[in-house]
Amino acid sequence: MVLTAAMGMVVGIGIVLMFISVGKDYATGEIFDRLYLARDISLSINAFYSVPGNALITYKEDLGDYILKIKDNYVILNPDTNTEGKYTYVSDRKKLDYYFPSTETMLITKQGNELYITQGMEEFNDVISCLPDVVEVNSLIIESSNNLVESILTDSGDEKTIKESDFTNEIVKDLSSKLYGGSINTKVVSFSNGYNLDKFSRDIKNYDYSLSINYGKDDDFSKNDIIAYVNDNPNTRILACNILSSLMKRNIGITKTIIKTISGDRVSGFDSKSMLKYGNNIIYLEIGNIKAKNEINLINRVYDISEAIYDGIIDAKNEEPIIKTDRDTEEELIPVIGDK
Amino acid sequence: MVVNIFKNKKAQTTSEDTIHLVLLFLSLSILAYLFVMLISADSQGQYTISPGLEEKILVHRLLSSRSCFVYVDNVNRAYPAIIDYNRFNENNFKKCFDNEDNNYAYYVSLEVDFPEGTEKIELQTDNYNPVELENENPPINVLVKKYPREEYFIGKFRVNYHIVYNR
Repeated sequence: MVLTAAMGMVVGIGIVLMFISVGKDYATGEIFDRLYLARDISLSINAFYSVPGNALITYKEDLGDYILKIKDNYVILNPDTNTEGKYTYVSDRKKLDYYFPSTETMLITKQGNELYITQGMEEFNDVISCLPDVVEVNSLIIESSNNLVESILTDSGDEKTIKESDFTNEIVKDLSSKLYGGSINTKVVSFSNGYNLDKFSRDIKNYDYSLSINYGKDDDFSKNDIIAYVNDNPNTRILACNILSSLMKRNIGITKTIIKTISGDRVSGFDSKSMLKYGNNIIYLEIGNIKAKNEINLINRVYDISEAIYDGIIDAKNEEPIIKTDRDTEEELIPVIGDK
Repeated sequence: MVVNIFKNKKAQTTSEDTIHLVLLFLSLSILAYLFVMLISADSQGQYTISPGLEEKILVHRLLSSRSCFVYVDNVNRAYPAIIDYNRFNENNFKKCFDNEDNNYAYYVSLEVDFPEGTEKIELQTDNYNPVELENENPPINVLVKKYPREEYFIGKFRVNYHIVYNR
């Protein structure tokens, strides 16, 4: 008797709670909101796949406190709840897989055939204008020349201080170790070690590209912009574009990416006239304010950056050739019209 | 008048009553669950998309997405509404148009009058069933390029679709 009563109470409480939950969602309109947003996002994704070139939109609808999951042809808001909002979209060969525990501004970007969804980023300057062309990168000089004056980075959260030169040196070391033994012949140099410009100019001519990694000089710690200074060689711009694009894809708090073509003015601590004088394939990269909650995350962020730069170089090098008709099959490639 | 509430003097219920109670709770649980499902199903209809919008967006993809059939030139520019005949095949269709779990099934065909004769290619998604097709859409004219020829041909591009009911 007691057991039966207890069982009845448990079931009754469960039923009541379920009714309250559903009723609340209905009364506040959240259930309609989730369904509407799921459909709207699905239609946006479908429409974006139709764009023949590159594109970018900021999704303006207020996603509030909803959990957003995009996976396996479904857009789901507040998944695994009684009143989730769910709708399907038609995916491309690469299925999307995103999970945002809390969504604010959502950015949908299409670059080539790939669709990316990120959150919280406002701008994507220049990066989506990368021409997907092949860049022959067989040799690379990596340089870290920011140590004209040692300055201190203060982590905005925990008052940890790390010398900025340590950052870029770590990035350079990690990047060169990743490239070591691969198809790209690399050489690491640094002006602070007495590597003078004469040697640098000789090496620049013998190497395909030079990548100078430097810390940003922005005093506004709320920003983390990455700027790539390049000359007007289109291949250099493509390489820089791929590196910036790779950095943007990572969730490391980058606020803006910019590619600037130098014209001979002084660029931060590096004489840009030297770039123009000594070679035409130099990328001067300013990493920006690297910030993290604690020292471990700070170090991890540094390695994230080096890995992203590595990915960008490899992406540029392995980009698909100029024309193919069926890229993913074993069929013989159809050559460029007019070649033969 | 004496009313006997209990079956016997010892105030015990029979096993039959227990079974009835269990069944009652089970039924209530199922009813509650069905109620929630009904509400969810009903609320799906509260937001309606403009008729034909979703299908049109998907049809547009077939004619403009660079990962489907459109012609891409030697500097990697995609030309919407110009079909590369060599790319119009099952492989590409499956890659650019994975409609698993989607509300619609699609049939796509391209018919081109080449000097050497008329050629037609038909493609469809796995869940397409011509029996369920209500209206056949008229074909639209598109430009077609077939390597190694430099000239363009006129092709008839047709897309039919129907709703998939049993997802």
